Amino acid sequence: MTDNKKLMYGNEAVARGAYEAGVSLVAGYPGTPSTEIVESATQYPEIEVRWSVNEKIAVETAVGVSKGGGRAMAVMKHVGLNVAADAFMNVSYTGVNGGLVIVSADDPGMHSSQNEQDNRWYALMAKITLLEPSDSQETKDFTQLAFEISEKYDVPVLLRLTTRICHSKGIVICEERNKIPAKKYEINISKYVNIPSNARQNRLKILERQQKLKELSNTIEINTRFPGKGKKGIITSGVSYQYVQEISEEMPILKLGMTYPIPDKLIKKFCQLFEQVTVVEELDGFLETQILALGCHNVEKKPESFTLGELNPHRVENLLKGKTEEITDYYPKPGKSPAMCSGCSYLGVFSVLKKMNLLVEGDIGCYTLGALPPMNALHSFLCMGAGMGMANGLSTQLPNQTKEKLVAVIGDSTFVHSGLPELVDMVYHGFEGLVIILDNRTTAMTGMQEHPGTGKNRKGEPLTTQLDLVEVAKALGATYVKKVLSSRLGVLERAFEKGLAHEGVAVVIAEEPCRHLEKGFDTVVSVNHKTCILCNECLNIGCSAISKENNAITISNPLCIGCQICTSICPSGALKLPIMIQKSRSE
Amino acid sequence: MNKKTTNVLLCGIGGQGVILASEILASAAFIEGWDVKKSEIRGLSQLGGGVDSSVRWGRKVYSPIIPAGKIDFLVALMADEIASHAQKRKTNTCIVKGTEKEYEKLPHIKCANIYMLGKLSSYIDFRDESWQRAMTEQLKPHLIEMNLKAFFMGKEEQKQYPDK
Repeated sequence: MTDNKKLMYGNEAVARGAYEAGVSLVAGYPGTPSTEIVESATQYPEIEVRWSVNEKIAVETAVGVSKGGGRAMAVMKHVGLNVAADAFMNVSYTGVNGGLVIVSADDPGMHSSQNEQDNRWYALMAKITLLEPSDSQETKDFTQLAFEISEKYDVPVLLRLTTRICHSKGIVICEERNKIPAKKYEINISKYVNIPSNARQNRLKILERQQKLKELSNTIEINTRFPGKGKKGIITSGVSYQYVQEISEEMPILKLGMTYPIPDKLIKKFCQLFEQVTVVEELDGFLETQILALGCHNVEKKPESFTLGELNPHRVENLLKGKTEEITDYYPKPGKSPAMCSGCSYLGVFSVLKKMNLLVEGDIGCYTLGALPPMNALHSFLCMGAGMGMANGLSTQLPNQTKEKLVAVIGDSTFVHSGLPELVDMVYHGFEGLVIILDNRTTAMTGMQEHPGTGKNRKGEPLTTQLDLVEVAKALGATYVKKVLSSRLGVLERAFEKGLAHEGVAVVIAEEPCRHLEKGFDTVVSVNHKTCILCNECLNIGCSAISKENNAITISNPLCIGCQICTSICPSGALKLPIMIQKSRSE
Repeated sequence: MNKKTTNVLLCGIGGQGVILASEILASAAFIEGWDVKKSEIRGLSQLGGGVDSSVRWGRKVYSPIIPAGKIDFLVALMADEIASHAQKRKTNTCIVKGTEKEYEKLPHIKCANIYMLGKLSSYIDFRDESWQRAMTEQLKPHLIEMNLKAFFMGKEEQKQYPDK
């Protein structure tokens, strides 16, 4: 073992690859499974690392750096590319100066996402080059290669990862950082200003570029043939390659690392060698569709079930043997379902929303879990910022009695990401409901990232400017704006009532730091079983520290943090906070 | 050197240090000179939710996921979690589990994950130096001594009562 060999997650390997490629900027918005790429990049002081306010801004920032001559990378989860799609589609036309790489981390199986869209189609739609690594070493190598291709062919490159690549560790050989001199920044109106006359010229350039990239795809080393035995051939990409090799090292394989444009000649030649060819790829038949279009008729179309969920060696074996699947194969049974952490300040907010029987248009964050039992107090969510937009539309369809119950909830980071224009639109169109900003002072669900509302930079250092949500809401035209503590349930309820009764847009900011940011709750709630009337009110909060065992309410000592949400709800006074226990919270 | 890949699945609940234990195991296998892959799903696992992590090592490891029916060792920090992995087990999967009673003897309850690694280590021919180096690399300096103690407590316990 030598010192330059390291065990790395795929995400760490992307950051390492960017570092070695001499990248100037890494920008992204947090989203599982991509988050650790940006976090890992912060260990390299040579790189300007940014948590952008949203994915579109991350891509635009990267485009700016590229134009200025530096190498730049924008990082996001698959649905983040939807947000950034406008910039993404258009930068294909203008091309680059310094190398430009966009990383999309897809989530087959929806381990922590609302859909499992296959972002490889974006490469085809935008005519942008696509690379798909299959392990940590390739992830690092392909990141570097992506920058070289980008500069040589004047094309942005999409590096497509999946959850299993991002969150798996493998051995990576590390090298020194390449000292790439920054390219010269030049004003070039015909290249960078896509007014129709220029855009048509750029479109023609894309045709030429595509021809050259096709040639590259047919000759590039990462599109390789592995000889093997038998009359069946396999074409595969990404982590699926590893599953094929796991089953048998003896099958003939065409492994594709560059999957758009596809290597047409290579594929045709490979297909001619075999009686039957199976394409093993996760999610959609992206390669399959294109290979069939090449006229390779011995390629079998995979059964639809294999377009769902994450693959694994077992499923790939089924596919290769022509076996049909059980539903449990593609969506394995989940373990214990996720829940808000015990003592989460959102638990109190949702108990009030439930008590007031409000109609809640939700958004993306920990609070989305308010939809789960026993809360059941979040009634829809679509995408970042959509709760406000949907409430804005829904209110026009509701009878007055129901309209008075309509609220939109959105987290602090999500509000900054895409809630700001939503609020402007609500004011503009006279929305009469209430917007609740759940401000826990961080981007909690992805692991505590800073944003402009926290007043700290990505290192957690205080900044001189902080986005003041109260002032912002007022400035954008909300006429009732109130900030309250999330744990003061009575105050919260009154603020919601006032906000709902208010004519014009009302914003209530329910603020309290995420429990993971705080220390010092060293007490545990106790139950007085003599006074407890077993009304189950505390169970309805949904706090994982509270349970009912042998017909008695039980508070879990390791889980309870003494937040007092349950004590303020308990009608009989049986739940109290008497004991000052120094809980051993080492580390 | 053994050609076969060894597959370990560690499971427990969020907050028990399943992932950290898997980091140390993967790191020790790496130090021993094996090809290593390790994989887990993170994201929506909150405090108290189920967590598992797969570690595989051998001459050449392809899939980061353990193939169905190929788990050699199932290390369960919570006995409840064993059932949910029934499908991936094989008939002779060695189940290494800990009990609350055993954990009570530890220098700190938080060392339970490392104690379980100690128990697992009695079946695996890694050198003690490799384990120690892996722990030194992965743990915060002030926690190393306590965890080393827990590790060797686990190793001894399993040697004495291998059927437990």
